[in-house]
Amino acid sequence: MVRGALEQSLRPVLVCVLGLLMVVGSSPATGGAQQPQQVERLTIATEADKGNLTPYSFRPPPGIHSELVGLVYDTLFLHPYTEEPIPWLATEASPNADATSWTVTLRDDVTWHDGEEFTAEDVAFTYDYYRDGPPNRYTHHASDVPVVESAEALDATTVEFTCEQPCPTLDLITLADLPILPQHIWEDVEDPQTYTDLPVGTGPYRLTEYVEDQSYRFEANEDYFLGPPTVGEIEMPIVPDPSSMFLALQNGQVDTATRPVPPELQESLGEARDVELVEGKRFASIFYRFNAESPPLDQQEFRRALDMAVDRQELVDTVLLGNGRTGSPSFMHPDSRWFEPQDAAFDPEQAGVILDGAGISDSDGDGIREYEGEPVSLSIIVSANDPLQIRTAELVAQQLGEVGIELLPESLDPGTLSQRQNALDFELSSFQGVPHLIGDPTQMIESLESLLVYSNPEYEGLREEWFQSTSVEQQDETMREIQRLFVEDPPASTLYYPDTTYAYNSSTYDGWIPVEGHGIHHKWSFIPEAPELLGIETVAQRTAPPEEETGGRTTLYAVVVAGAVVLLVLGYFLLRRRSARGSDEDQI
Amino acid sequence: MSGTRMGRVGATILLLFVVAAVFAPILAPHDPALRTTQPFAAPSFAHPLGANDVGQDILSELIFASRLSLTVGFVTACLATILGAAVGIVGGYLRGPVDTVLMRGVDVILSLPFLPLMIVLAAFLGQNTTNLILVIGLLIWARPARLIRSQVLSVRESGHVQAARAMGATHGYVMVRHVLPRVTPLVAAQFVRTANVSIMLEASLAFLGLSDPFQKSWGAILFYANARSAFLTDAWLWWVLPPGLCIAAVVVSFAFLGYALEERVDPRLRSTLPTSEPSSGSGTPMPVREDALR
Repeated sequence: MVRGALEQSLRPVLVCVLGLLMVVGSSPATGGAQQPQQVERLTIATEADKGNLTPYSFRPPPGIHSELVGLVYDTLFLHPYTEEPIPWLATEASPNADATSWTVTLRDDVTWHDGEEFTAEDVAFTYDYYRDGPPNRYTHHASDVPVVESAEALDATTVEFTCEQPCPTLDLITLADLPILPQHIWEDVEDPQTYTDLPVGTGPYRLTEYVEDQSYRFEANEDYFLGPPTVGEIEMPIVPDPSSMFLALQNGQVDTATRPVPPELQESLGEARDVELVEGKRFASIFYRFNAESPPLDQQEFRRALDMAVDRQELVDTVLLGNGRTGSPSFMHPDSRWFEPQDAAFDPEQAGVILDGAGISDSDGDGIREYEGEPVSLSIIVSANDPLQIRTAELVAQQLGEVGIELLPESLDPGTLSQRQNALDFELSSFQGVPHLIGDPTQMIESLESLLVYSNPEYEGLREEWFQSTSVEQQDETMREIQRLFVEDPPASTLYYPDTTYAYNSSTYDGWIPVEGHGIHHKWSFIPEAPELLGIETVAQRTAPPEEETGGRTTLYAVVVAGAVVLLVLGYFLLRRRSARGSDEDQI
Repeated sequence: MSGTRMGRVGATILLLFVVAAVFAPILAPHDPALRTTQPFAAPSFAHPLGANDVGQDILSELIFASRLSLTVGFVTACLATILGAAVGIVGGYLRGPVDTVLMRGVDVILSLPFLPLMIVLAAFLGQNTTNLILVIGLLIWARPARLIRSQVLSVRESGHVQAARAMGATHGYVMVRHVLPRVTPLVAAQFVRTANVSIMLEASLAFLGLSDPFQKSWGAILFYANARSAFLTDAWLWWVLPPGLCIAAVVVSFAFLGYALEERVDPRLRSTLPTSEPSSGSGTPMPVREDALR
């Protein structure tokens, strides 16, 4: 009787202990994943259709167009946000004394997806095509800043570039940004904007299927000059709705998502099985553009006071839940090598003083200042699709209200929004800063004229200086001086730089490398040699457990053994109580 | 549940919401425009339904939002019913080419794909409440017009109308004095129906982000909840469910009222004969008596 009871009550305890020991004993030795992981296929959810992925196919909203184009096409150097130029399709580039002419040597082992050989003629053709043809997101690098006067193929692997003015950043930015097109295909393309064929490039992936607004399918280019990529096939469904996208990730239906994880979701998504989060270091910002033609925004003092009255820390804390950095007057992203750090002075009192000094004060006591007899009431247009920007506008309106400026947010559908932005039919407008815009100084020079319509006499001089600079250091110094100018005369008001955290399923692929300005979804995450070339570790290398592994295992065993002892003791007491009760019953 | 009881339940629920809307500033624990706590705060004693993505109290938002939803419902229903009744009465009474033209117009409106058209119009006209009311109102009057017309067709043949016409009464006089009173119960039922539809439509458009996102409405609360991932976290319990239930409750209350009213108009819908309910004399259907007299 007693023996039976002992056996019965001990059995579950024993099973538990044995089970625990088995689990611990059988856990495989993790870590040491130095060999790049080979994966047959990956599913990556992306948020928007980006056309057929030629350099001409860009369409709003901004997303990872450049990175997708980069899967198919290659550039001569890598990538526009590095410190030093890294050769890619090129092997080296050397400028003449005043950096107006460059001689670039190319690799000779590269072929196009269709088997044709890649030569210097393709490079020369591409630069001519970009300079003289219809504009796209890349062309101003060849037609405007800088003007690449000629690109000439000297022989099969040598190209000579000549710029109108000195172009010291040619290898660092221009050659690192512009995808090279195959001459044998593009010389017959009349209108690249309506070109609908699947693209042919030299890149690590072939786009084999594109269904508009639905999906992309990429297949690995096994003949890639750096060896076959690590992932054989990439399936890319287009999922515009964030909730569906992250639900699919949580359920393991997709392996990663190109949309940054919103701050409110990070905790619960991070807890999901196998889902890991990584800071992608993509450059992002939200900024307000002024219409400097509409009074009182035409007053420099007013724009400055407006910029000063915005409490950016409150925006970061409330809208981003702290997952971001406050905007800087520099306009550039703080992680860009061209960024000149400056304090955004939040000082509503000083803003009030400046406004009073400019004659914009509240004369009738209704809490709103007047300018030339009219109350200062500005509208701000934001995209109705972006709740974060809508909330930001609401908060900024409250903050400006404190200094007596009325801001009326107006949300518009994306079509109307871009129409009114292009027609300059607004007073303030909310914009999303993309890496290209806030990381690259040549784009900055371009944008100050085209997008921001910046006019400042001092800037005119600096701009000329920038164009005459013959070294990267000189251009860098001028760029910093231009940014210092923005404290007094802001071209736009950068509110914040949100973090770009991405989620991926670590059980399916962990070769992702976060590249500054690009996030983790780009070709370098699939090229075995890329971590070495770029000098960046993959997430697997980063999260690999430290060397003191055995020590950790011992502690674990100690804990398990202690737990088992406690369970046994508990079981023993349980048994004794039960058998005691049993014998009581026997006596009765 | 008998029609009358349904009507009473519906009226009670609706009354509760009207009271909440009217006394919102007294009932709401906080000002919904102010950020009174942490963003995404979970429910607590001070904030029974937690806080939204910028720290505004959700319960207060919900109470204030009933103002917009009910206003849109009532105003749109007024617009649609007046338009529908006018078209129905004029068309049905005058017959002939006027009727043909009006009814073809009704056909066009009825055959339009509803929600897609609303979305296009809302996006095109811009996002404010007046536009929203106009858009919904101008799209949902066709059904009431068709129904009212069909009843007018029978009313215009009835004795007293014929008599009035014989005595030389003008069309306008007859339509207002004799036809309108006879179709009033139907108009009332249609009013309730359109109010119902427009509240649903307002909520759908706001949820899709096509109404003014700076206005508090139940649909807008759901829009932010969806946009800020409430469906993927526990927050759906206090951020999605309550506005959803509010919309459902108001829609159900209107539906109950509608059933009750329709039952009065159409005795065939009654589960019991009129004689078994002698006390409800006021609602004795006219058509029965009329036919008996003839």
